[in-house]
Amino acid sequence: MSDRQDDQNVASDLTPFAEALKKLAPQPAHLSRDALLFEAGKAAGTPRLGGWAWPSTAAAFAGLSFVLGAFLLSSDPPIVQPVDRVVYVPQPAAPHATAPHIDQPEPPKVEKPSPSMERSETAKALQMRRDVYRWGIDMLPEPKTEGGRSSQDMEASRLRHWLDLPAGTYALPGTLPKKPTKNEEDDE
Amino acid sequence: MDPDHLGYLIDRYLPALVLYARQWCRAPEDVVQEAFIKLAKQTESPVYPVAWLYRAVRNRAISESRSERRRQNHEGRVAANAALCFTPSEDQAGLDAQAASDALSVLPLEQREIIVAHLWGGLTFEQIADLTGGSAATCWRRYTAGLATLRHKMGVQCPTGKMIKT
Repeated sequence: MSDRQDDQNVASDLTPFAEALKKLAPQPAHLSRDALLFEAGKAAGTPRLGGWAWPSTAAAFAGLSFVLGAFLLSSDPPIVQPVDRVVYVPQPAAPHATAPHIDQPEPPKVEKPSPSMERSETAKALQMRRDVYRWGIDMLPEPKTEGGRSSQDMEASRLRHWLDLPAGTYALPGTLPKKPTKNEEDDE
Repeated sequence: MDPDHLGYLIDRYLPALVLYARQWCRAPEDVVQEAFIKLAKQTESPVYPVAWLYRAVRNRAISESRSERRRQNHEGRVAANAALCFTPSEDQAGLDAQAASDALSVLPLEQREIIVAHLWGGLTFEQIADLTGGSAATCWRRYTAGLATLRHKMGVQCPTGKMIKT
């Protein structure tokens, strides 16, 4: 605390001396104000890139143009001479070999019937043929239809089967001889 | 930078900057001129152009002083002794310019630099601390110590009428 007060006292004691010292003007510089302003303006106006940059770039491009032009003038026009050559072209590979592999969905697998199933199916078919030869066409299985009609037909066929009627019982008598009518007799 | 502002800076700070640069080198005018030209080349004007100028002058002057020492094996303070720092005052009650120059030239560099920058450059102690790389309090202590030494060397009495011993 006392140190700070001492500092402040010293500073207040020194203030008049500092003010008097400040009144002393420094020696004027041996520099012309206008010349300095001119130099500063000139420096501010000059581009940041060095003065050698643009001329050297232009010279480089001029040299490049000269070299390319010399190449263009010196080189002869190319002479085209036809040459017959036998070219062996390899046979194109098979499309499936060369074709890129494309992932395609696999077809649904069809279950192959086993040999025993095939044998039983064949036996059924043979039995059905025998039944048709023996009992007529009615022994053929009815096609699957909708509704109650199919069940009625099934019952009818089952009934016929139980009655054990001979084949051709319900056949139409179209081929049987019939008695001629009166009109037929008059015509004759 | 605005030419009017640059002209104002030259008018107001050119002698003070030359005085500041004289502490290190023997050709302070060249150093100050380079600093002004460098300032004019800045695309963006610095926030505190005066502080910027003092920094540029200080760096360039120290660099020049090293070159001079290498060339002539001279000390920097020789330059400070060589010339009169202030113009003689017409005020009879004012301080003697020659005595002030002599007293200033024998001050330690760290004190002299702060006194010159603060009194004639108008820099604050914070700006001087930023310039010299110390703290503002240290700068203030050096400033007061330097002023006391100057007053003692010049034989100026304090307002209370007694000489201050440093």
